[in-house]
Amino acid sequence: MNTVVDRQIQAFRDQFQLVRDEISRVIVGNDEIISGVMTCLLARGHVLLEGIPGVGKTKLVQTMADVLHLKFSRIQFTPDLMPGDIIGTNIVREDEAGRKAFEFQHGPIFANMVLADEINRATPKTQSALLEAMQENSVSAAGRTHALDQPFFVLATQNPIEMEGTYPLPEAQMDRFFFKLKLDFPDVEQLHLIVDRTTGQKEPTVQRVLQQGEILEMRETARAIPVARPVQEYAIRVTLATHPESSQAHEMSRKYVRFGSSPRGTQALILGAKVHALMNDRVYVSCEDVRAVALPALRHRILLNFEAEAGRIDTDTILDRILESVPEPKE
Amino acid sequence: MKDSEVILSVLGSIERRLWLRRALQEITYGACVVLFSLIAFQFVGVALSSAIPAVGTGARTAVVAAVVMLGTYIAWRALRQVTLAQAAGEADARARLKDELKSAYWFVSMPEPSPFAELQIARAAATARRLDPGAIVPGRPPRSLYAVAGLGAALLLVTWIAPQQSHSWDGADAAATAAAAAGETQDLRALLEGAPQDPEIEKLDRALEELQRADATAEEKARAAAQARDAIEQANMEAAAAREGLVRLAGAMRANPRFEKAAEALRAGRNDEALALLRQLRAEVGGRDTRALEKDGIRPLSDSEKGLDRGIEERLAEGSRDLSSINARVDQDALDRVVNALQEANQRLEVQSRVIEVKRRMQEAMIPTSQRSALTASQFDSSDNAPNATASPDTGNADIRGGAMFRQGAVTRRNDDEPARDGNMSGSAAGNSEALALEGAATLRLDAQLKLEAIHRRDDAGDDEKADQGWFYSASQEQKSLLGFEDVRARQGFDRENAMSVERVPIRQKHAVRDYFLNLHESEKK
Repeated sequence: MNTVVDRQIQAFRDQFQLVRDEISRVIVGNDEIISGVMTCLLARGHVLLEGIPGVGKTKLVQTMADVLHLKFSRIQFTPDLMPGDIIGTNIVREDEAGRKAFEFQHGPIFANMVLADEINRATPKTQSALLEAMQENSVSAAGRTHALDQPFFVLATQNPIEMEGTYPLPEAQMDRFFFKLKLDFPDVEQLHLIVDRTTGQKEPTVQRVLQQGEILEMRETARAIPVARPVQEYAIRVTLATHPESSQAHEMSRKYVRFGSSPRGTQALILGAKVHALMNDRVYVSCEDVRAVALPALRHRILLNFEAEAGRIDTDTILDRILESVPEPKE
Repeated sequence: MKDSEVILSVLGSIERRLWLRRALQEITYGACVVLFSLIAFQFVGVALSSAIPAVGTGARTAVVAAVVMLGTYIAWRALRQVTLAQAAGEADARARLKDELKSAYWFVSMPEPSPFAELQIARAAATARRLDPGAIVPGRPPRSLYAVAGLGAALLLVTWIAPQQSHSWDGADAAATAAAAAGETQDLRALLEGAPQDPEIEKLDRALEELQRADATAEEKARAAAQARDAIEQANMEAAAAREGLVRLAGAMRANPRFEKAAEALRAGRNDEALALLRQLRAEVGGRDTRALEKDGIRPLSDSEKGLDRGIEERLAEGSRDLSSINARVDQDALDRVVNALQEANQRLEVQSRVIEVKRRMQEAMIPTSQRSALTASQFDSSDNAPNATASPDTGNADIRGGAMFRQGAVTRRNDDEPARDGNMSGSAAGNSEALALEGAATLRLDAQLKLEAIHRRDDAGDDEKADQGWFYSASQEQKSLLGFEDVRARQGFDRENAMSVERVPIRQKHAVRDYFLNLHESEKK
């Protein structure tokens, strides 16, 4: 039996590495971001990408769609976008006999990978339509519920600047995203590579390396990784340390946090850690795996207070301090 | 051997090593605390037993109790079991295994491990086989063991260097301390040898002898110390009286030109010189016959008039009277009397200087001499006010203490020739503080503002009048006048404020408008 599991784990690692290498042919640097997006995909989550314009958010998603053999759709969020534009709508169709009937026209959300570009530019009503589908994996329209094909994976992007005319996602909706990944500006070497790759006669192309079924198998493998209670306790301690009212709250949480992470944060910590453990050829989750995914899993689930805003304290700083101070369980 | 057994075996080995290491650490840590406490107590105990002799036994009991309690606590800590989960955690942390053994141990304890858990157990078993428990938990002694050795050596050194101080509560050391105290008392008695014959000296000597006695109880010693204190105080009082008498004698002698030099010598404190001058005068008087003396109006005194049975102060006063006038009788007896009194005063001063020296030495040896309590007032004062052997020129008392000075100052009265001043004269220690300046508006006494008026009621039913049924306060005539004056002045002020100008606009309103625009202008500038 161990041989079967070993083979399963090896396949997981190989496929994961294959996807990462293929994406890296187009996307320069950002290995952690690619791993983070893959982790979300394999942990049945959705990802929110944040970065200034031009750092390759949309390109990353498009490349990923090219690499994975999945149905891909892109929705450019604008203020006049309506929920029907995403979900779909009933239209009147006339058949050959001249009879008229309503027919549901599927919206772009009926895909395996959905790129919600600049999600904060649409109205909350439209955002809610998408986020409901993310949570339920189904869409209700005209009194009927339509299940979404699996894997269903939403990659939303948003721009941290140019906040005029945007509708920032409420905390409850931010919580639906498994990870929030921040794309930093590339360094000099990476910029050289970007220019070399994109200004020549031939742009790099990628191949489809992962089928829909393989992704679903990888998802099952990731879920099967067992977690020892002490490691789970560590993840819970980290989550509780973000709660200012908790007895285990960190000093910075008490000072700067209004609301701590939700239980979804703990779930994200454990599921993300499972994928991280598999990527590192382990069949168990360690506290190190939890630490590795703590920032993307929790940074968007912590609500800061006015004092933190005034002192320009961000959630990453608070989480770094928490991870430094929370001890690993000794037994 | 199954994978799970391999893991449990290795963890068991690590657990035993951890337990042994922790027990050693706890024991050595406790030993460090005990040794350090004992070293510290070597020093603290000496100080405590010196200040409070009875503290020795209590301190020893407290130390023993503390050591027993600490030992129990350390034993409890040392005997606590180390669990296998703790051993797995320690092994993971020390061998940087990223929670591998901890997770494997957890999966082993699961009733139905999943295939992934079984794989993990197999992998962890392979890792455990490679592990050396001796490398993970080395068998070397803890560092605190070296600290124990160092502290033990320090304790031996301290005990060896100062054995008489380290256990002052022990019987042998107490005897040594008593012997040292007896030697000190012997030195004090030696100071009194050769002193003039004086009852106070004898009393002090007896008290010192009692203090010197080895078998004297604490109560006897306290009584002897009290006697010594009384003797010292008595000697000081008598010396003070002698000094006062000498000052008066000098003042009286200055009035007579024949004794002027002797008076100057007395005033300057040169008593021996004054005595020599008086003896010379006596020799001159003694050389003349009685008839010549009678011709000069001087007749010899009888023996009963010599007054040898009276006090030195009285005899010096009498001598002062004899020598205060040029026309007074100056014969051999009177001079004899003065010379005798002067000699005795010198003797008193000599006694006082000896007594003061003894007192200073007793204070240095922590023998209470001034107060009933072992805590003297000077012990609450700064070291600048520590007692010294220099006697006061007025009283000859060297025991000048802060408390005595304050009490003395508190009852000091101003001189009668000072101009009279209002205010409290007892505010400062010197007794001459001035009153504070008056502040605030003047006010009238209540009995000037108000007057008591009785209510007389007439009973309608009968003709008889019931007087003094009630009473109340009403404004006095003066108060009525003042209130009426204030009322008139207020009305004038109101009329002035409300007066109309030519434009029929009240002045007050004009002022308000002006202020408004002034403020507006100011805000515009800002």
